[in-house]
Amino acid sequence: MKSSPIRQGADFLSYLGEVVMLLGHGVRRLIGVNRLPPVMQRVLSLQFKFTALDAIPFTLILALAAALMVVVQLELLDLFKTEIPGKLVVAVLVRELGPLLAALVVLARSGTAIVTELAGMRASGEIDALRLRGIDPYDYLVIPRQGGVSLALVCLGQLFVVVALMGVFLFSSWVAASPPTWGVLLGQLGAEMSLADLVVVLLKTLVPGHLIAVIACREGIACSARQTEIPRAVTRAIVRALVAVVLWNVLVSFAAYHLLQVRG
Amino acid sequence: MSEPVPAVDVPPAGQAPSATGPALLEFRKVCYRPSSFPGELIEHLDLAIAAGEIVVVTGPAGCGKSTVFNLACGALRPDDGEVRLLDTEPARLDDPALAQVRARIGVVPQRGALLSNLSLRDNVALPLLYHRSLPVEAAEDAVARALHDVGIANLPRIKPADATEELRQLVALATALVLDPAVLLLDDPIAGLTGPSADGIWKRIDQTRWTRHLAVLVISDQLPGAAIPDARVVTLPARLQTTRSYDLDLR
Repeated sequence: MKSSPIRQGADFLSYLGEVVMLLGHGVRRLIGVNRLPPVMQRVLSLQFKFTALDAIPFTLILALAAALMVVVQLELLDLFKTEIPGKLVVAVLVRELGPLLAALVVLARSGTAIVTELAGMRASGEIDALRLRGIDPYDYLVIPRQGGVSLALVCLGQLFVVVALMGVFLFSSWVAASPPTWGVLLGQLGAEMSLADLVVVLLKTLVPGHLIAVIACREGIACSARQTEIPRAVTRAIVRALVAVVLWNVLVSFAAYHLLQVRG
Repeated sequence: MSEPVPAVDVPPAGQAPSATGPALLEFRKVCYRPSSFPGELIEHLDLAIAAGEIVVVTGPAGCGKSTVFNLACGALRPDDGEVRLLDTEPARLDDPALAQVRARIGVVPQRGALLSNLSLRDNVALPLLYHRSLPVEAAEDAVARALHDVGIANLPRIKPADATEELRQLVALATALVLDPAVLLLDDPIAGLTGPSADGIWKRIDQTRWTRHLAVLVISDQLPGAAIPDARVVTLPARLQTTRSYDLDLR
């Protein structure tokens, strides 16, 4: 039976409240990361390794591919003779595409892995067993994953931007008919980039890292204790995390744009 | 493969450890009615277990054996009556207080429910590492002692999925013992085991009760028989005509 729009709205607000509460609890616990039990610190470092280090090759390929796409478009539109390449590269690769694609890499690899693992644990009774042993599953399972994933996404976001910029230099001299010198390109990028861009990249990777981890963990732990529910939990987690990450990025872009406009 | 350790601290044959002191786990006229079940599943259950005592709750399928286990560890609230565990009423505790009480008891859920992503040894160490914030090395002695008490000298570096059912149950028992509990609650610890394997688990449970002076509640379809001659047996009456399951809202 389909529930009423009011009920759906109430459910959505309740879900939102739960995610915000989990985020807040996680951030509070992670601020004092040294006070976490060593066993949780170990899980955090393993999560960071899986999410960041193991994803480096995939991230490098995506960053170079994105750089090549931008360079090809610049050449097709014959923009290399203007001052636009620097503006376009910073706007597209640094401010928008870099953080978003890095988040997608993390969502595709770690988000799916987390929700599948935790939903499997739920189905096999392991999460109830943790509770019976006095171990809070939201503490033991969520906090290390939240810390590991968010830290990893910050690192991957920075890596993506640096490699993509290097790719622009590399591919422009290869693809463009009359490429600008690296000095000219460097000057354009330097003139366009500011400290605000670093803040934007940081905001668009740190917060989405928390969002991906919390939503994936929540959907895994709250999944019905049946094996057949696991694929549905994975789909739900990925869709919800994707929407949350995109909305957050749009919000940050609007805020940054507004600030730039105010400064004139 | 694990090597069994010879039992050195068991009482002489025929001599059971004496129960002493007040009840550590007590059911007082406990009734429980699941929302999806017609009538009372548990009806006016009275039960008291002191240190050194062992009670086996048994009965036909669907009679509420696991419900008794869940009531004992505070996962369910009784509709009437009172469950007292270590001088507290777990049903009335908030989640952090309930977690603290659970850190003072040993629990073996159905099938052991060991964490599949940890090795067997890490499973045993986890309650200690989490509740006492110890580094792994500092937990080694307590882990070795818990493993010794269940008869495991050398635990292979494997995960639960690669272990035999018997080894998984013994490791789950060691996991429950690692925090030095006063009360031990076991839900079907010999499920899927028969013959010498089942007898071996019963004897280990009895031995740990004796060496650690525990109050033990066991939920089981099978009775310990000669393995624990002084075990008190509580048989619940048949409730369901079918094996249809019903939903329980566990804490």
